[in-house]
Amino acid sequence: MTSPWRRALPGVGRLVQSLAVMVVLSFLLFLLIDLMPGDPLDLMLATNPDASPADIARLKAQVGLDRPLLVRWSEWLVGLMGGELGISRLFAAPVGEVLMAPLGRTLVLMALALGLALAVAVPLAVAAAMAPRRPIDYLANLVAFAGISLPPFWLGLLLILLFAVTLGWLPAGGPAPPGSGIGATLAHLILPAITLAALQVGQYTRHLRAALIEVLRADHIRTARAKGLGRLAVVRRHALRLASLPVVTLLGLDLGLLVSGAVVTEAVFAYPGMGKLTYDAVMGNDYPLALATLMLGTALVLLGNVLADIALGLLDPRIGLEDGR
Amino acid sequence: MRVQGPLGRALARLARHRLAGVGAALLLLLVALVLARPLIAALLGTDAEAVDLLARGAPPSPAHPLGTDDLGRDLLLRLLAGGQVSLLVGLAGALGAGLIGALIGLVAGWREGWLDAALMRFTDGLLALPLLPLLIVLAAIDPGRVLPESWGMGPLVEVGRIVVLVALAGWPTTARLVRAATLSLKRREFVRAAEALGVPGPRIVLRHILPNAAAPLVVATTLTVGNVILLESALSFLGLGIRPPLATWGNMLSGGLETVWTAPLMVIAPGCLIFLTVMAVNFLGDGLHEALDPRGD
Repeated sequence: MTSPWRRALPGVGRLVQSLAVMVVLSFLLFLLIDLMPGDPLDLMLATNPDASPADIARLKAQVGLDRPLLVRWSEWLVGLMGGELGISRLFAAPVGEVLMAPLGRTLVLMALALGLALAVAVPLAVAAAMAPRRPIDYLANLVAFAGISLPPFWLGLLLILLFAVTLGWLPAGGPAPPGSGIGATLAHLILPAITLAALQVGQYTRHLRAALIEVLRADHIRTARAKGLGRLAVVRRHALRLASLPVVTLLGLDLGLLVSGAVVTEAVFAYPGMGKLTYDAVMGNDYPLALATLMLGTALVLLGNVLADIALGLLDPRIGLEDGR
Repeated sequence: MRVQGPLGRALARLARHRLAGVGAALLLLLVALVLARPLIAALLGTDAEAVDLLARGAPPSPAHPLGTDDLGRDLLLRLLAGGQVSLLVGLAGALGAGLIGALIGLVAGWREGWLDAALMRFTDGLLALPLLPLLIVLAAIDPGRVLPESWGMGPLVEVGRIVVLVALAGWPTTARLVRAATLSLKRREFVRAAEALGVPGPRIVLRHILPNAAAPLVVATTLTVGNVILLESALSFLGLGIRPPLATWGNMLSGGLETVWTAPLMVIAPGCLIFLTVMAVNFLGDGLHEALDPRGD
């Protein structure tokens, strides 16, 4: 018998692997950003008709844009190790400082959305799995399909139209003004959180229901029922733990995706989080900032995967990380 | 009538799947409507491009069953024209993703060894990149720097750009599924027998493995159609999708945002169509998944 923490130990190995993947991906991102139109100098020079080709070449050499991609990438990597991310062109401030506030706002939004998604999906999936092919199951199925089929910004718009414009219950968007109480802060968060949670509710309900139905057929569940445990108690104490495995994997994926993938939702609600920052950085040709936001998003996806793997090892004694893949 | 063979049994299972039936019927209806656009245009006596500046944002009337848009064009006909492009992009993007995914999955699963490891680590890496920000970067790349200048920026390049983008973003999932199927199939007796008979590798892959790996491929490709339509609309919303005057549901939706308070139908209608289409595709994909599962009977 190995202790659960021993089973989680190989996660450290996965972490190292993920770091290697990060380095490779960072090159890919660097290359992509380099392919984007207009380097920082083009923008500076576009406003200055007097610049001669010689001036341009001299300036490029000064900033280092004339050197090969690989050299610039490795220098950027070295800077990253020292916490040096460059200066944002749009905000005229160090990238690290620019990132902080939006990251915090997005994390709050993400936590709320995930909590909301689980609060809806888990009871729904349990109810559906306990009564397959009954009305509640069909309802769960419909909710799940609707959740994964809704265009997120459209849902956001409909919510604004209904709750902000027609009913006037909630603000239409934007962050809560500084210094406002917890009530106002929550009011500004609730519509974006619902919009983000819709997709998650769909995914979690589908996977959890399918896994629960599978698990409820297992022998140890029949044993638990035979010894007189009630149906709900069986689900709560025995089935949910095993059936939660696919959802844990999804949660790991969503950790990263929600931080950077909320671009659209944050745009609809004018919520100044990481998604909007990424978009502004890419559109505004702010290379250092765009690179940093993309790298952060990628790192969070990888971290989410590793965390999910560790959690799976803790939840399910049959899974060993060594022979995982 | 008794249907025979695995394909017949799968079709029979699909026919029994109620949601898949609803999905297929919805999709057929949408395609029929889109194809009938010239007919409907003739009936209404106008077409999707006809601008009527005196009747901008008009409410529904007999002449314009869904009213008009911000330039006085018939909204119903615009929706059908947009549907043509959106459905085409969805289908082409999904087929492209399926093709790349199948190719890489088959090669990786068949060859195994270092090639498999390299291809799969690459696939994992792509899956780890945040999709939408990546698409934003890709969409911001100037096609002029990658394509020959003579290609210009016609509607075909415009649509092709989006199809390539979503196909590039969509293949990794398919590749993983096809690789897993290939790995398990190549250890089966019939494949070993073909090898023992001296059938060349590529022929075994195409004739024996691909048809048997078709089930996950078909399901994944079907589901991708829906995702592609959603992605296209998200890109349009961010101003990076297919640009007007070529209509898509995505750019109609984002175009209607400016007048959403006075003419909400311009936003609600294309959104409804995207939602219905994606839902129908997902129903169908779910039905196919169950129908093609050999454990189904």
